Amino acid sequence: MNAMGIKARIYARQYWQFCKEKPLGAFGATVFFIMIALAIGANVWATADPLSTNIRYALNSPSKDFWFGTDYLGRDVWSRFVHGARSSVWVVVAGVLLSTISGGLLGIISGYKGGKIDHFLQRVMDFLMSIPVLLMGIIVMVMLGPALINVAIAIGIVYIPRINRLSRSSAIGIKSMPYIEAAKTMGHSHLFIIFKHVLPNSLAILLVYGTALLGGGFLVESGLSFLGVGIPPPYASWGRDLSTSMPHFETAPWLAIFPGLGISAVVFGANLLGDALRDVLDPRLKRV
Amino acid sequence: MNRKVWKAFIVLTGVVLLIPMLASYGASAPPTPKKGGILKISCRTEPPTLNCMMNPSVLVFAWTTPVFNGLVMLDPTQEEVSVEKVVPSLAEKWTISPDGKIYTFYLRKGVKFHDGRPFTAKDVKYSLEFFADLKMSSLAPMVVMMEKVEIVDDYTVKVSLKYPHVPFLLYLSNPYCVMLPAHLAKVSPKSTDFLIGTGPFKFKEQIPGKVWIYERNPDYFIKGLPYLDGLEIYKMAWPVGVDAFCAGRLHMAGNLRYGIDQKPSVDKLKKYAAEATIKLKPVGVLRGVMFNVAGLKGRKGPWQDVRVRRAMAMVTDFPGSMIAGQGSLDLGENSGVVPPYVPTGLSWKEVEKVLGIDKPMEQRIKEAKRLMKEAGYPDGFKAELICRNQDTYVRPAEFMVEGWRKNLNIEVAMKPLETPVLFPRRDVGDLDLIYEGTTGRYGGAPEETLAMFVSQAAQNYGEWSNADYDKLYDQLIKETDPKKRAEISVKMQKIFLQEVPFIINVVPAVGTAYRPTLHGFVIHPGHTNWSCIDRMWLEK
Repeated sequence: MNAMGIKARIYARQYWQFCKEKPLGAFGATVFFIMIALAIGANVWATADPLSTNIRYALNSPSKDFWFGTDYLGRDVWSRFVHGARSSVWVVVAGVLLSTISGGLLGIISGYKGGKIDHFLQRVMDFLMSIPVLLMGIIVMVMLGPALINVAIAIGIVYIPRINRLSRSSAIGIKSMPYIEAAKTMGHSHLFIIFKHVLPNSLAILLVYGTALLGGGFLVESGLSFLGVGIPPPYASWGRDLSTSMPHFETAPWLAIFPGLGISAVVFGANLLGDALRDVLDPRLKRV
Repeated sequence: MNRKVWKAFIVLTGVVLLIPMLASYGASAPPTPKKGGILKISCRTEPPTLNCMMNPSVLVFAWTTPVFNGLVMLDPTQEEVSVEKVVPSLAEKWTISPDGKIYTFYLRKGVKFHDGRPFTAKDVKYSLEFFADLKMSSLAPMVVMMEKVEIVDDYTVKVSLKYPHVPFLLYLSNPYCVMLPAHLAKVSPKSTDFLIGTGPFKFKEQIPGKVWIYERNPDYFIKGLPYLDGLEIYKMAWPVGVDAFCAGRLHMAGNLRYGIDQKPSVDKLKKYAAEATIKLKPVGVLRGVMFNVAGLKGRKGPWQDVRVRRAMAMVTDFPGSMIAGQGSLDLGENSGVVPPYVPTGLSWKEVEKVLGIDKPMEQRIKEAKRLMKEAGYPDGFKAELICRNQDTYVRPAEFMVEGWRKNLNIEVAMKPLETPVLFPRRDVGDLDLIYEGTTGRYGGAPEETLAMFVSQAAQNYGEWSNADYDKLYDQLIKETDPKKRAEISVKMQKIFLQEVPFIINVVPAVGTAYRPTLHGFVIHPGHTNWSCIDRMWLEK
């Protein structure tokens, strides 16, 4: 067996171990990764152009030709479902990455430097946290206007304060460590210390919390789109598709069922996965 | 046969003939109106102002109409809109000078405002001058021909026009041209103290965000009216109003004009309130995609070329876009710039011919591609379309945008916006394309929609300008001969359709529903008034 094969076996064993120890987490991961797979391969899974309208087929119920039925413009709901997964995954992952990177860096700088910078940055974060998540998202979207990239920015801004607090507390803990003192004594610059010592030691916790935020990110994206300020039409989006299904609840329930199931599944999966990862990776919980 | 049998036969025949006659007499006799009862209706939002001249919207007049009257009104017993159907209201009669430039109104005597003050010529002068004030009234552009209002005596008013204008009386009959009390000129229109009129109902109280309550005006100038004891208007979104009606909580699905604007509501009513009568009438609103023809705010692009606009109109599936927005072909009609139900409005067949869409779609696509190539855009282009963030706007826009993408490779990025963000952009022309509706029309005159597209007109958002069109408009408003008026109107419509500054995809029909226990209700086409409200009555 070559080295690759050995590695693969190790990963498989670790995954099996993870499944045995955290069955809910494994289930969440499976659901979550199915959604990711749907999103990545949307062009392959889709049976039709998600934007192509045909009013003659409007509101057709699920059938052999239209697995999930058609919507009010005769568009294929299955194709919109998989492309909706793509839009959602794209904006949520981009948004959470944005918040993790910018919020994480700001938190580390704030915690490491302390003093006036810390005081100022934390008051800004207090202000941002005082606004409810969805309301904050709406404000950002109204300011920026409806566009895919803007939804990602909105999600990023919404979660910056939460990541910021976490990385700040981590940085405060790390900066009193002897190796930081040693680095200072050796004359390294603050920037060097932050990127060489503080950031790498905060990464695990940022990764865990970032993953946990994915579920919330999907909810924010769906909520914004449901309210009509998220992903703009005609792009497929679970939240918007759910919102536009409202007048047809009685006559075409499939329009609400499938995007609703998609949102529930991905949020459920991401939350279970996030919890399991936290249990496994968070050193403080490991000690417990 | 003996005589007895003959007699019996004649009597029996008589009885057999008489019974159905009597029965039919009983059935056709109009039911006698009953007094009493509180009419419960709804409206989507509470009014931003109570002066309906400042904001001509159903969202304002729904709350104010019960309180005010106009000088004249549309016949409250007939569903027709024309100058001939204008009947007296606060003016008991009027005369028009032979040159058509002076209207003399003779007011009813003994009419009182709800605060007990008498209604006189002073109030008419104040109201009409307010109506024509470009700074105060949104409808002032409609009556630019009004020169002055003079008080002849306490009960006679003379209105002089700069030039004869046939539909003038129609404009005065609309629900926004109400007679306000001059002595309350300083009261804020945001306060309910403003609701002092001569109307059949007095404003009583409101529970903000829930319900406005009105009570019968015992001093109403038409003796014996209104039949109802009062009125309650609930704040409810239109679909919620339909639900409340189905549940028996409201007497109408919405109010006297609005409530049903999409097929799902009609389906729901048919399912849960089968006994209800559904009345839908076109509102005279033109909806469609308007282009920034003038390239305002530096937004220049291929859409400024008439060939591109024609190509885009050619590949538009008009009936399809109507179904996309309204859910059904029954909830609106395809139209040119003057709706087909208006006298002199081109029929849809004529519109199709002028737009070049009277051919099969394949042929239209071919022709459109040729035009795009000729204009220098064979590979399409990119543009942005803004619209209101409401289903009836987003859905047809989505449908039309997809048609352009599929057939002409035009990539249009849609931006549905909330109205406080959209309107300022719309009003200054900060747009490439906009899917928007014009404000509702109030009468049946072709000038009403044609006026919206003369150069510099407020609703000509893309500032399309055509010298011939403007010239014809000047002729139209001064022309009194109906035949010549029709000719000019048709010419203007054709110019408009050939230049396509606005791809009109629908004139929506909206309406309401009511149960057989409600009587006296009449609905007019257009953005019309509730002149029948004092005659409505409830069986139970």
